[in-house]
Amino acid sequence: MLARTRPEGAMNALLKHKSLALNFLQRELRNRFVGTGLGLYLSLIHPFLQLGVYTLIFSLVFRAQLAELNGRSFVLFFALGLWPWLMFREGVGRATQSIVNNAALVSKIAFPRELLVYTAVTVPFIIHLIGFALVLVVLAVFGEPVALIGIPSWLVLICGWYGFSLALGLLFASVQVYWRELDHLLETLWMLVFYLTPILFSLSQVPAAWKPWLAMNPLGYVFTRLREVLLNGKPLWIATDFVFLAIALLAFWCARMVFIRLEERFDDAL
Amino acid sequence: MHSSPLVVAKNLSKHYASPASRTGGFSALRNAWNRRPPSSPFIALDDVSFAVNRGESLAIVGENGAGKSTLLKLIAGVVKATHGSVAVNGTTSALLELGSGFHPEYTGSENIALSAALLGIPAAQFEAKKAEIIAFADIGGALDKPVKTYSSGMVVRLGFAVATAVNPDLLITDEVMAVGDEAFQKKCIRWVEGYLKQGGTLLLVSHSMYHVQKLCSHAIWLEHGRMREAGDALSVSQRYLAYSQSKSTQEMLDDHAHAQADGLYRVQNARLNGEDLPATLAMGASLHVSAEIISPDGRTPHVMIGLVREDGTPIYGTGSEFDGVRLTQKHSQSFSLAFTYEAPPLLPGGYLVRLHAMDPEGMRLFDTVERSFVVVGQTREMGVVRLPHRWQ
Repeated sequence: MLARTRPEGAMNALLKHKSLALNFLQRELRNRFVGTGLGLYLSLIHPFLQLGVYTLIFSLVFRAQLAELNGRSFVLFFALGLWPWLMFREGVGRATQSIVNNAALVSKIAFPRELLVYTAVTVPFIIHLIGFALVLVVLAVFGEPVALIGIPSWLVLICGWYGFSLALGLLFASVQVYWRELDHLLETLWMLVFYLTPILFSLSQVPAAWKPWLAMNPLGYVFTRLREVLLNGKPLWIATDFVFLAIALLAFWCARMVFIRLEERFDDAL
Repeated sequence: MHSSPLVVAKNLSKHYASPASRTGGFSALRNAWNRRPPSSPFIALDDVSFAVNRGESLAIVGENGAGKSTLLKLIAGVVKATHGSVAVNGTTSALLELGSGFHPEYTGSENIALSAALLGIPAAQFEAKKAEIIAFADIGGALDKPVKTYSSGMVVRLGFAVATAVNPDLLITDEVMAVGDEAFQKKCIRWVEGYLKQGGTLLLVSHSMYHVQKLCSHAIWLEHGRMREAGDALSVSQRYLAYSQSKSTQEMLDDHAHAQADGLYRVQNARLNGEDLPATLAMGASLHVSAEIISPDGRTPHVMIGLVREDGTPIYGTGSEFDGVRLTQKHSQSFSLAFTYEAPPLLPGGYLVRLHAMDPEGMRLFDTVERSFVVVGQTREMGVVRLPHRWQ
């Protein structure tokens, strides 16, 4: 049988192929913005419009009330949930297609295939991080500043979120190669996750009978924390934040093992 | 310190799921996860072992579908072996398909950066070599136009040019020197020769026996995924050439021989140098032809002897009637033929001796029998025969 050598660590692979990773990143960023206005539209204008529409519907039409707002506006509340969601949704979505879309490269050239997944996840995180910063500045100008003290916590939490997105990206990208129906099913999953996670609402609004069920959704924790550290600046740190970071790391490690195992036969399915 | 071989392949096999058995869907995922072998696999490569030392260069020859490209992909690390193992104790650059990393929307100069990164060239080294790459490609102002506007020749030029910036221990090339115009091909070959001179090691897949003989010291011949022959490049490529020439005309010859088998005058027990099997002849060695001609009416038949290349090109023909020779009678109905080509000036390749039984009048042809032989030798002369010549 084939001798199975211990796989190279993700960090080693990255460092060894630093220039390739940078090239992939550059190319992916250029793909989005060069020669087309679509990149700018999708990464900035579309999310701004989304924010506007949700704000309109929820605060003006439904007149929803939130206890934890403390007089802050809905629009800030939504923005704090929407951008982390966009990073995740777009990053994992693009990662899912990243191997299949680069079949020619994967079947002709030897390079670490995981770099394609990392690139696909990283670029939406970068783009929406910039968009998010812009939104926060605009909101601050209009009298809705975030709690600056919460920024370090937010950055740490978003790193965990990024790690978790990489994990799902690796998993879905490798599965998609063999099971091409996956991305269609994911569309449904995204829709459910978006509405069953406290992104547009907060857990406090949920009827008491449903609360325990929704609280079981681990993504809810992430969105609640990402929001509250910037909205109120408290609590800045809680012990479970580090549990979350550990889980994200573990998820990444497991997903990478799955990827490495499934990678062996990519050539047969592409 | 470099005493161990650069490349060691042990019992390499590669099985692909045959298109018919490709299930797709969830079961494909399950099979991949369980590493279950495909149910009715297509065996692209079957138990191939070899080693390549540093500074040696190895050619891989064989017909289309023999597994040559699969073997290169395994060594390059693009695909994983189903069984067996391959180890490369050094850096590798593989040119499996020139320009496969190019993005059509980007300009040539933008594309060479990624292409270089894919070949594992660090950014600093690439910057240092960029001017050299551009000079090698020599495509002028097209460099700043999108690759989609390029001709296939220009893509190839650019693709190969990037590779010249690498200095790997092992260079793997798949038919890349058979592309582009002749001038560029020569440029590529000069570069590869320079690379080899500096102690580089080359793995080459090529249908051009000229390239094989010019660039490689050793060769392996793959047939249906198995190793048919391995040895020095010259003799393996010559035997492969002879084989492929004979194969292309074999069917035609079979039909021809069959149609005339029931003729009145027949050829039997035809032998070359006393052998039934295809003979191997060293360049310049004499070739003895012997046969029995059956004459049912006991009269002395005539015989024609033709020498043709294995693709059927006639080289020389003569006959007992032309030469005024009478065959020796052995029995009442059997005459013996003994004939020798004295030191024929044939160049390496595959040849056939054709024996035709004729009636005693030398008018009608009744039977044709063929025997093939291979001329082997160490030469890079080209053509069929060596013509006496002199340089002034």
